[in-house]
Amino acid sequence: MDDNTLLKVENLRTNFFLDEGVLKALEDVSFYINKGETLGIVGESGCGKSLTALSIMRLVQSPPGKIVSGKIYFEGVDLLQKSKCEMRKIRGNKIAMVFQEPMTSLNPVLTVGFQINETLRIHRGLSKQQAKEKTIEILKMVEMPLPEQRYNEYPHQLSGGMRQRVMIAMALACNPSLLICDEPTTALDVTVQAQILNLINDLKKKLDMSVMMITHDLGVISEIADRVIIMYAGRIVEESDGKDIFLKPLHPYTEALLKSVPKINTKNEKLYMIKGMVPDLLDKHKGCLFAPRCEYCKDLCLKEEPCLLSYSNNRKVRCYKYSKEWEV
Amino acid sequence: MFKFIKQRIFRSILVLIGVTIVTFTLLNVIPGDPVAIMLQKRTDEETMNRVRHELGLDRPLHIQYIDFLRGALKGDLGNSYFEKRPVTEMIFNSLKVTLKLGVNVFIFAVIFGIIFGTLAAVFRGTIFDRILMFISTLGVSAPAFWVAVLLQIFFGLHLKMFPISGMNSPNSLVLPTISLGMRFVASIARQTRTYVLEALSQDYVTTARSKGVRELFVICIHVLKNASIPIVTVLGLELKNILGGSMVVESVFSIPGIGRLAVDAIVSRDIPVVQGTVLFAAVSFVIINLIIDILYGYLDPRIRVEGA
Amino acid sequence: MKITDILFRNNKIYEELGIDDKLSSTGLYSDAWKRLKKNKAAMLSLVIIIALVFVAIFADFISPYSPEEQDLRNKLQGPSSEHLLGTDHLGRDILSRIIYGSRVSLSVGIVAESIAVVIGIIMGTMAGFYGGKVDYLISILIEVFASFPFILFAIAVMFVLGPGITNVFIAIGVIGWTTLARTVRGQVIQLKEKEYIEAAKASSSSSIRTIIKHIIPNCLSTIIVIVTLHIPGDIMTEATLSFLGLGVQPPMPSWGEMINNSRKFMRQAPTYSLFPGIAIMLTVLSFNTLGDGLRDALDPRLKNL
Repeated sequence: MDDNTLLKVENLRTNFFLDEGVLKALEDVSFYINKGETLGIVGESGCGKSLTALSIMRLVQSPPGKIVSGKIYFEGVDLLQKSKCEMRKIRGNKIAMVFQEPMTSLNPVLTVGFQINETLRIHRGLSKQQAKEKTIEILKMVEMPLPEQRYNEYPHQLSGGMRQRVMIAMALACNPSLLICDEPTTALDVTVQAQILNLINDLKKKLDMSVMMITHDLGVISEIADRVIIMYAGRIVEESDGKDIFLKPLHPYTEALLKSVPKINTKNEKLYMIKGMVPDLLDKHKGCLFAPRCEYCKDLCLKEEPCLLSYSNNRKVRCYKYSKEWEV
Repeated sequence: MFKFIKQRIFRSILVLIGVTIVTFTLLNVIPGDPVAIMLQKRTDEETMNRVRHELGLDRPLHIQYIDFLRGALKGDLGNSYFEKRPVTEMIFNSLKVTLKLGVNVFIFAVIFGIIFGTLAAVFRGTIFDRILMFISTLGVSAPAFWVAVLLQIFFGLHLKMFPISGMNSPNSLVLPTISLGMRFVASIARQTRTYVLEALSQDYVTTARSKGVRELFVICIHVLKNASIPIVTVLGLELKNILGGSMVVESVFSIPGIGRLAVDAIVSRDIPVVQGTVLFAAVSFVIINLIIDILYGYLDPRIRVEGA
Repeated sequence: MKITDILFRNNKIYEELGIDDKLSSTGLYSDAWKRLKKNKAAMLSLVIIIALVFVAIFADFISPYSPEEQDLRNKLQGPSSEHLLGTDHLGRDILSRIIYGSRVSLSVGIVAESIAVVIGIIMGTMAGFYGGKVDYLISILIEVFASFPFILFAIAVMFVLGPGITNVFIAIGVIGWTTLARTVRGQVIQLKEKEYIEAAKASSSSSIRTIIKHIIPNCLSTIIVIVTLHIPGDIMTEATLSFLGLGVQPPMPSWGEMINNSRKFMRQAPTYSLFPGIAIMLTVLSFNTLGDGLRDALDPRLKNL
């Protein structure tokens, strides 16, 4: 692992121990993020993207969840070995997270100012007054109109876009090295979405951060991701460069995702639907999890789950199509 | 916020009027001839008519009601049939005692109830939680008067640690407070647990944790501030129940509070006193409700401050 | 089951997305019954209640002595082989009196609550269905009745009507309808909005009939839960009334009255007060636990009741 790598996740495995059985939610998740880079994580809801983020932050609700095995190297040190106390010092400080639903993710009974300066007071030991000044600075940085007024207001007094700016301000207050964004624009209007994405991109450069952008929207990826990983049913099925993934998708799932995006300039085309349904992770599976829905499915796909294969320099794919056994 | 308060006050006034009508009807209209009840037909018609006239009970009902209402607004609830003292005076004297008991019980129940409830929620699923909740269910199921009697027997007679009647010693209120308080500790604990659990499952808790906030502060600031809103409503309800429950406990421990005043008046058929106490209790409840609602509106910034 | 299901299990998003339990394919009540069966405490309570009903009905056969049989030579005895729970101040067997006392408690629970249910449903439905001024007035009426402390009002009603078990039924029934009315009103309002939209799309005639046909089944589960949770309160109120001498009259045995009697004999017979109280506590506990279980089984979202 070289100096340029900020985050390196190795074979992360997270399970949920339920009454109904053991749900293997994340299986063999491995990826890395370099400094100053934006990694996009794409997948449908329920594929484990949010869970990956929560696992990195060690915020998985336990019980019933548990990170069973794996390593999460952040700035060279395995986060899973750290004590609870050490982990707390990292959260909100070195690694910060922006959540999807700003209305429910902000505390309705605390002022905006309080919620933003909380991290400043905890991690930087600032006094109330110093924290207030810094908070207003940060609000200006996230392009919040009338920051002094907003400081004393409550979340329900702000619009959706403004609330998301508050979430971003909260996350950036202590200048983290890694910013995890879990579908930050999904709950917003389309026009505001673009603003927020641009804001995140600008701030990334300004504050010299890495960004982990979780989304189900390929459009977002095309805008700001340097690299992409595609997740399906708790596994990484493809890893690629931000542009290559659109020019030449490798995994059948990625292909299908791209086909599903409705295109304006093509006429008379029925919306493409991936046949079948996402597998129930409680059931025992044999073979590739995407096989039942895959166009290219062959017998060998049903026998054993494929590994994440290296396709080229910086591309990986979990599919037998690219293995030696395919043509047999 | 002000519009909210105005509407609530108006509504409370209507409720108060309703309360007076119901009280008056219950105690004056339904029983029939109060003189007959009072004198129990031991005298002749003439004496009964005289008494009736003296007490103003031969006037038409709606006039009696208006008089009653006017008097009540002035603070005059008539005189006791038997003690010849103004009812209002009797109520105030006993109110002091009941308030003392009630406040003790309230503080006892709120402190222990909220602490136990929050702990049970935070340690949900563990044995600790299960034991606390089981004890709470028992506490809610045991009749206060029975607990009072048992405590009297055990601590009062057997161990002789606390007095079992009267208000003479500084320890007089210990047993009554515990007898009455136990079920409210239990009840408040159960409901606190529910609301804290609900708040704990909200997204903003994950957000707070993701910022590196210590779990203690997550609970005390982020969670409790939210849970306190419905809990305040619960406390208001329980306050009413405490006032109601004090009646029986006062009788058991011979404490001269309002509850005992009401019970004694009912046994001796002293209608003005019964009417006065019922009215007083109901009016107190309406006012408490009003205060709780306004407090609720104040605590929840979504109501206090107009939204976007 | 997807990861989202677990992550959002406790959040409102779970409900918004309409992610249903795997169970709800067969029907509300059979599902609820399955869920209830899993709840051991609730099932135990159900068994206890059924046993109690049995005891109440067959008291004549189960009870070792007559509840009125006095034996003044053996009064105020503690538990013995002849009198399992001891004797009271008139030499009557406590166990027998407790057994017969269950009749009073259970009948109060059933009859008084039935009265409250009828009044509550009528008021709640009218308020919710007609809305507007009718709703406002009925809501004020509900608040008026809810403002009286339960015990005090019950005592006052007993005062007015006179003692006796029938009057106890009336007293408790006539005050206890407020919570039910409020909840039914809320449900009706919700249902009205749903049904109105559908009915507006379909036919306009007999919308009243359809709404009534839909209201009862939908409210039924809530009503069942509330009733089960109210019965213990009614039983406690009856016990309190009898304790104060204002409820059931002797020689009819009532658990509350027994505890009252025991007070004068605290020194001689300390166990006298113990057993009737345990009977009350056990009964109330069972109904409370069953009620909690029913609520969780029928709709976990009702947890604020």
